[in-house]
Amino acid sequence: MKLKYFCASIIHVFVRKIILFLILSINFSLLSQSFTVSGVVSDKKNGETVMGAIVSVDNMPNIGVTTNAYGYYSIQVPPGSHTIKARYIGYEEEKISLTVSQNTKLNITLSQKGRQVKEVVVSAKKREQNVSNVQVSKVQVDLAEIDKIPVILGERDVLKSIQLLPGIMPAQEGQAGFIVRGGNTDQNLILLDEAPVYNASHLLGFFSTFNSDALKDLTLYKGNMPAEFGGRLSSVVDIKMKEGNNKDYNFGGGIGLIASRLFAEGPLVKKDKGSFFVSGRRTYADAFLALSNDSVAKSSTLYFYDLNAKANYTFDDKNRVFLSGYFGQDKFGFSNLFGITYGNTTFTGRWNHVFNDKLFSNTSLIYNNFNYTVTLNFNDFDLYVKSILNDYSIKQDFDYFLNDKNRFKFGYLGIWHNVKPGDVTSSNEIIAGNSLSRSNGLENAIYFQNEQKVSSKLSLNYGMRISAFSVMGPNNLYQFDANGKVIDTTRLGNMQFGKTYINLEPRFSGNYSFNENSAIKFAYSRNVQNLHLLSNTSASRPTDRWILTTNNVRPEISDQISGGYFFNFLDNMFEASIESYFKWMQNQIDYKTGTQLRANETVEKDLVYGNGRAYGLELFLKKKVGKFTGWISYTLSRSERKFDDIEGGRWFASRYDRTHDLSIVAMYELSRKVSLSANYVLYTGNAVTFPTGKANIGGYNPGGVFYNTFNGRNLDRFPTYNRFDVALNWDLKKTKYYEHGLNFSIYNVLGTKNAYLIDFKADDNGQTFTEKTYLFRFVPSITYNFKFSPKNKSNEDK
Amino acid sequence: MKINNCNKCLWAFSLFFLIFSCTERIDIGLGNHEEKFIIECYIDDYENKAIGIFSMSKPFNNNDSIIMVNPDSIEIKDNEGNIFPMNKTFVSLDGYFSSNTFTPKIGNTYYMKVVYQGKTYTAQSTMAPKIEIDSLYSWTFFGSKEDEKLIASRIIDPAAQSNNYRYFVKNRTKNTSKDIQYVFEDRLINGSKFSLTANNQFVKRGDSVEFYLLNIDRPNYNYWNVLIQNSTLVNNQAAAPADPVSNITGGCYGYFSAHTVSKRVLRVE
Repeated sequence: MKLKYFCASIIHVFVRKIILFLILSINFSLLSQSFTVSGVVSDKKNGETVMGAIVSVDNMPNIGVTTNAYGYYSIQVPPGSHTIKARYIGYEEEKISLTVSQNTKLNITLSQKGRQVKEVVVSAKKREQNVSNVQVSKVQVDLAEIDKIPVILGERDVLKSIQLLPGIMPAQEGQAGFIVRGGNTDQNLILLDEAPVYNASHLLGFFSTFNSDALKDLTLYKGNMPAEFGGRLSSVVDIKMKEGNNKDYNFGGGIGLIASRLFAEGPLVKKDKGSFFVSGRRTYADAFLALSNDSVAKSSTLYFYDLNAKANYTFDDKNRVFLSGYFGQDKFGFSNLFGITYGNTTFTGRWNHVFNDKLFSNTSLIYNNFNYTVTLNFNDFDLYVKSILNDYSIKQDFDYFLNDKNRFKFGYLGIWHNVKPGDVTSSNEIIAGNSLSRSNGLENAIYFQNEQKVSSKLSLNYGMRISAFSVMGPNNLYQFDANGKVIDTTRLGNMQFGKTYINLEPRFSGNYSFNENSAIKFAYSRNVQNLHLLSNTSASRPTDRWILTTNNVRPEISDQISGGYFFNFLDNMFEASIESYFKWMQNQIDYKTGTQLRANETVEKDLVYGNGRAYGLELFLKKKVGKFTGWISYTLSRSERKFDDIEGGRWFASRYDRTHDLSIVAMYELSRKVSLSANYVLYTGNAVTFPTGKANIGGYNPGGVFYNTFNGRNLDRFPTYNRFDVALNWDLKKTKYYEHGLNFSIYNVLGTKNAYLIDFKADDNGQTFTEKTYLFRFVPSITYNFKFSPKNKSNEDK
Repeated sequence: MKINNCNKCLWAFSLFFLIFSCTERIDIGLGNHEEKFIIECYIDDYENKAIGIFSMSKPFNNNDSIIMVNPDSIEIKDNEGNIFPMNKTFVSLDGYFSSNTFTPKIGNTYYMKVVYQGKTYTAQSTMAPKIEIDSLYSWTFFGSKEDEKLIASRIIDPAAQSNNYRYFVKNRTKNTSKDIQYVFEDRLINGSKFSLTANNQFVKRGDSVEFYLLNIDRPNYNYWNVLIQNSTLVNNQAAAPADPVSNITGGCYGYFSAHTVSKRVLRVE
């Protein structure tokens, strides 16, 4: 209760401060005479809008703003002649002379840098965003850079590459699933053009759903997200798809060992008005199976594919529409005997509208679906199980560029969650009667935030998200006694409201810059999560079960504070940061021993609830300029859980507790055509429960069988993991009209036998032994990439 | 049950690393093990007697010898007041005890009291109705060799009550003593005709096999359901393995079970 009152008083003070800031800011804008310069920043070559670009005015250091997710900006400029500047990583700075005597529309185009090292050196002398950005624990990923990092089987994968950054770690070797700052894998909100992707992996986790060809930008918030984001405790991964080239048509793709890719992009209806982007990817393991002599292999299915599509059209200076979608599926099966299919579908429709030169609006309608089916049909048994998770969302965001010092964002998000955990079909009527009840939930959130430049040294971003989750019908709500027996069932009718949970989620972050090259940053945020993944196996599976918050399952809540020192040195050649965090988590979920999660209508009775805490120190050093670039990332951390019903209520290590995590990435440009890259990772093994003893229990076996016995939860560790990968990128030819190149890589070139599984078994004589399973040693790959630009006028500046 | 095969297939596929995976034996440091008393005591209508086997646990990395011990006293009785004295089964062997033959009654509750080194351990178990095996058959699991078969039994589950099955297959031709145990509850198929397969145990054409089906009470089902995951005969994929909750009070490993047994024999074609 004391904590509650403490939080309430903090919030009270916080709200008062915000109101005070607002009043001061509005007064300021009334007193000063200025005009608005606004517009869109886009790529000169392909017309793609540039998000996060800094637009400023020469000799006026206090005036400047970053473009929003749609490239839009708005700044207040005093009357007179000025030089407006726009810059962004990987682009030449653009300077435009402008005489301002009224509100002015100014669209800016930026040219991409060449690969010459010299050019990079020049631009790197600018003050960099890692220091100036007010947001702490934010990672903006350079996708071009990530493409060079060696990956398994040559399949470029952003979700694996971000695991080389501090605080972000793989859940297991080779997996696209990741953990952020000691959270669980389900505590990451992965958004593809604003649509949540629930199982962002193919091939049972070994590849992510994201085809790099289709991606424009990836931003990751490690818990301290601004108020516009919410819904997960640990992170938000905000991925934007490419809009497509609105000037020329391009075609390209890649041929790899296990998959091939194709894409096409070009103007839509009219150049500079609209564009489209379409890409597809498919694996061909099944083609090799068909060549096999083995009849079982011949009749087996094993592949995944995905499609990305996006189109946009600009009607006028005030209205622009985007449509984007993703469809991906995995299929495995043996003949018609067994099959499993799973995949994601997302659709996002967006309308950008500029109300006036200060107020930008985006309205989004979003649909996303994750589903899997399992088919069994052999002997005298048949079963078909279908599980679906649907979200229907509406999102309204406003971006209000109030004045030079204040930029407001506010909006609304509504999501209708519909979960069908398992619809069962079988010729056996009794088995067919085991379909699980569907559940529904309505999630509403409003938010507001202000990014404020208090002074030339101090910037703040503060806001509040108010979220409400309502249990909705149709839904079966159960009440249990202390023994887990159902004592009451309430059936909620269609659209009938059940329990509603309302949570205030304050967000705050600040930046105090000592100079252009160094700053301290600090942040606090509260996050709430109403979707929970139930998985009690050592690796995640697509068939793991998602449940909504109910009358028994309460929303998960986290509070995180973090702070750090960010600095650049040697003319911005190096970028470095030291960051620390502490995170408290409430209503964490675990399971009673022996819990059956599948086909369990009343699974809530088998869940236990507790708390979590995670804390750590993250170090990052990056060399950004020169022939030799790369980074070193190190995390020292601890993640623990506490449940009344487990380990006598003491704190124990979470399964994703990793004390040390080190990544080293190096890239070297041998020539304009050839570059080398390598990465090394070393981390403490996951916390696990190993047996300490064995008990001989015979049943009806005269000699008995040994069964493992245990001391306690997660008292042991997997062996330390380490791996070294190398790659070579070779641009074979680059002309105005086409380019092509090869990528060679070797994954785990040292052949380290990293444990993937550890089993405690007995041989035929009953002697017990320990056995490890390891994967992926000396895995070579080759990928051929190509791109055609048949009528490429924009390439003439190459 | 065959639903279990779904998991098996899933994992076989996740062994996309079939291509890449290798195994090797390793030495790994394990925590200290505190030696603990093990009670295995059951009454069935197959041997028509009570059996008691008493031993001690040992560190995982120790050898495979079993430390058998003799309790100070053993008492088995039922809810009708009948007492079934327990004596050493073999004069020269420690740890094995049995009663004289008697006819256990379905529905009766049996009580166990064991004293070892001054500490008392108690438990009770109610004998569940007998479920007959309808028939046995063998089948080839997809992907396995042509002469490798799995054994399955057809059972008609009585709808009148919840049944908790424990079952295993003995290969009399191979004559191994390391039989894998399985459990299955009728929660999803109550009153239905269904099949139970011994998933992890392949037999060959010509083998003579025995299928044992035990109907056990719920606490014993819960115990075996977790225990099986800790077996050294199968791989354990639980994220947080733990000792099963025993129905014996006093803090020992093991179980006390009163159950019925059905058995059928098949020669694999």
